Order: sequence, then structure tokens, then C-alpha cells
Amino acid sequence: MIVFEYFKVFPLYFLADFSILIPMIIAFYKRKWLSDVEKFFMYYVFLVFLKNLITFIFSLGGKNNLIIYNCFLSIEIFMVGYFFIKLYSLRKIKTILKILLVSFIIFNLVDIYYSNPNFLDLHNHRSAKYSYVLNSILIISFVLNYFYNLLTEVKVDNLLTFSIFWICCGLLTYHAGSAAIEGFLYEIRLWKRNIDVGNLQLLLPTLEIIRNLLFGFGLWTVKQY
Amino acid sequence: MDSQTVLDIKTILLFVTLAMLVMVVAIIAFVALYQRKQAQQKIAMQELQAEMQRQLLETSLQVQEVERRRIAKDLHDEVGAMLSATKMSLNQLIKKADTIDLNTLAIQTKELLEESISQVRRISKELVPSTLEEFGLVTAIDEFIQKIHVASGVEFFFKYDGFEEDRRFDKKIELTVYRVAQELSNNALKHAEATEISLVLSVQEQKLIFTFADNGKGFDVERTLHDPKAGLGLRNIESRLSVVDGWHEIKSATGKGTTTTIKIPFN
Repeated sequence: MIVFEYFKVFPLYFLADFSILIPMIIAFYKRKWLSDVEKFFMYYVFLVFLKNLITFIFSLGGKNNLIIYNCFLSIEIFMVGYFFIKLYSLRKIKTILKILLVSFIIFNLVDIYYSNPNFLDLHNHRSAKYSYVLNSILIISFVLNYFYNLLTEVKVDNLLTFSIFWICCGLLTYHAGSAAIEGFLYEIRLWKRNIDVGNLQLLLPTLEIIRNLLFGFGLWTVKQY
Repeated sequence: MDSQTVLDIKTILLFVTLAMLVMVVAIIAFVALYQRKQAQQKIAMQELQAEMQRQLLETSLQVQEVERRRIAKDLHDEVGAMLSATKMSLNQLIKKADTIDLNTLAIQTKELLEESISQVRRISKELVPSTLEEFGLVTAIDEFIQKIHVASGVEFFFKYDGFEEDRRFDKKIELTVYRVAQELSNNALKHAEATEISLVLSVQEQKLIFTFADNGKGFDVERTLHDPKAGLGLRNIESRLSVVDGWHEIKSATGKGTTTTIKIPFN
């Protein structure tokens, strides 16, 4: 009943949280034909679903769930970063990616700590100041670098039937929007202006739905033998 | 904060986000289109390379046939003529031999010489399949298997289906099938130790189909094809078929003989 009430009040947020079920179901349906990289991506999708479910339950109970979002940034960058590490064969790129991942995880933990001087007070927990933007910038750079590799190496015959391309499109769309919105909101916070951005709040959940649909489409293109 | 400032901030936020999204769409479209163009270029390049490879192979096979023809001509016209002249000279020597020992020796030499002339004729004929050029595939294969049967005792069963005996195909196709038949017969006798060989030539849906089956030892097809030291004959068959856009299928198992089917399209 309470779930239905939540859906009535915040339909887009609800859809954004649970649209991740689309790629999850498709990945499960196609599990026999997934490559190692695609299987790893399936685990990432499952973790996103788990995060969404936990934060959803927290918000239903009126509890502060920002600690989960903050900590999930490290998990997300690890999963997405490792996904790209698996895509590359060059050891040099793999090493650079690993260094970036470890650096970001350390940065994220420090950022969470400094954004919350009273760390144990979960009720008044706040978002990490810089990690969201940095997380998006890192993922955008991973995707763009992968696109560059796709163009220079020409190993794929048709990108439109290549699952990884659509997954990258999903990541790029969501994180480009997220970087813009989070970066802008950070600037506003810096000026200590507390404003209500109104319907523009719906941009992020909309992008999340688009991302999940692109993930789903990408996994759908996996060939069945 | 006044409402105008809030409106400005909202407009900027919307503008920045939309600008980012437009940029993303542009990047994705660029990557998809550019990659497609590159993939098409790659395919065109591969096709060009394959065509060049095919032409190179065809030229190589033509050169091989020209060289065979030259050697056959030299053997027939020069070595053959010299041997015939030597035989005539030996005949004179036999007539004039005054001792029995000398006469016996001369007759033995004449027998060896006749054998040599016969061998030279055989090699010369094998090098250039003149029957194929004059009478076509059916007659050439028939003649070819008769010779092997006489030499080795192997039983041959040959039949053709769907066309007349004197039907002529493209020269390249006829030569390919003939050489493939030679190669397969050689394999069946040399490696498979076959005692019975069946050959079927047929025409179906604008394709010439040649089936060669033996009751020999058989072999592991995959292993042979992937072994660089073995399967030279099979690769030779593949090369010849690629020149005429043909393909082949081999079915074999140890102790169960081998069946090879080749298919060549023709107009």
C-alpha cells in the first residue's frame, strides 16, 4: 500500500529505481549467451538494483539514505572501471584504469568524511561534495576513450548490434547529464543559495530511465547461438 | 533570492543539461556513422585482398599448367625423339651383332629403351591431359581411372548423371575437377590404401557436383586440416576450388573410408 502511495507521489522516481529491472531481466534471459564482460556487467546491473531497492526501502521508512548513495559511488566506479579494464587488452591502459579506480575510491571515502564532520550521525548525513561529479567525469572519460579505441581498431563489424556500444551509450547519456546537473547544484550550494529547481529535479530520474533502456537494448542485441 | 534569479538559474541548469545531452547524442551519432564507414572500408579492402589472392592463385595455376605443357612437349618432342632414334640405332646394332652375347645384351638394352619410351609417353600424357582438352571431362576421367586400374588393380565405379557424355564445361572448371580427381585418387592409393573407389559426376541447379568415395583407412579431417605438415593435398584442392568459386566437403572417419564432395557453380 505504502509502495503504491510512493508511486502516486513520485512516479518518475519509482520508475527510475525499478526500470533497472528491464536490463536485469534481459540479462538473466540471455545469460547463456553472455560473454565474460557482459556477465560482469550483469553483476553491476544487479548491484544497481540492490542499491535502488535498499534506498527505496529507506525512503519509505523516512530514513536518510544518502550514506548508501555516497558509498555506492565507490562500488559503481569499481564495477564500471573493471568492466572497461576487461574490454582492453593493452596492459598500459589497464594499469592506468586501476590507478584511477583506487585513487577515486580513496578520494570518495575522504570526500564523504569531510562532507560529514559528524560521520556517525546518519540521520543528518549529507551528499559527498565532489565525488558525484568526479565519478561522472571518470565514467565519461572511460566511455570516450573506449569509443576512440573502437574507431581506431575497427574490430566490430556493426556497432548497432554490439551490446557494449549501447551499454556505453547508456553510461555516457546518464553521466553527462548527471555531471552537468550535479556540477551545477554544487555551484549553487557553494554560493549557499538554497533554491527549489522544481521540475528540473526530474531530469536525473529521466536520464536514469533512458540509461536503463539503453542497457536493456544493448543486452537484447546479444546474439543467441 | 528573488524569483527572477531563480528563473535564471533554472534556465541555465536546463540549458547546460540539454547542451550536454545534445553533445552526447552528437558523439554517439558520430561514433556510429564513422565506425560504420570504417567497417565498410575494411570489408571492401578485405574483398579486394581476397580477389587479388584469387587472381594470384589463378595466375599461379595457369603458369603451372603452361610449365607442365612445356615439360610435356620437351619430353615428347626431344627426349622421346632421341629415345626413338636410339632405338632405331639399336635395331641396326642388333642386326650387325656377330656374337650371341652381344646380341642378347643389345636385345635387353632395347627392352629397357622401349620401357623408357613408354614411361616418357606416360609422363608426358599425365602432365597435359590432352583427352580432357579434346573430348571433355567424362572421357578424360574414364581414361584416367582405366590407367590406374591397370597399374594398381583398384576397382573403380564411375558414373555421370544429369548431362550428356560429350557435354563441355568451362575449361577452368574441367581442369579443376580433373586435377582434384587426380589428387584424391593419389591420396586414396597412397595414404588410404583403398581397394574400391566410386566417382560420380552430376549437374544440379547450375552446379557441377563431383563425389569421390573410397573404402580406405579414413582419417581425422579436422586434425589433418590443422596440421601444417599434413593435408598439403587437401589445401591444394581448396586452392584450386577457390579459383572457380567452388567448395568442398569431406566426410571421413578412421576405418570407414572417405567421401569428398565438391560443388562448382557454372553459368
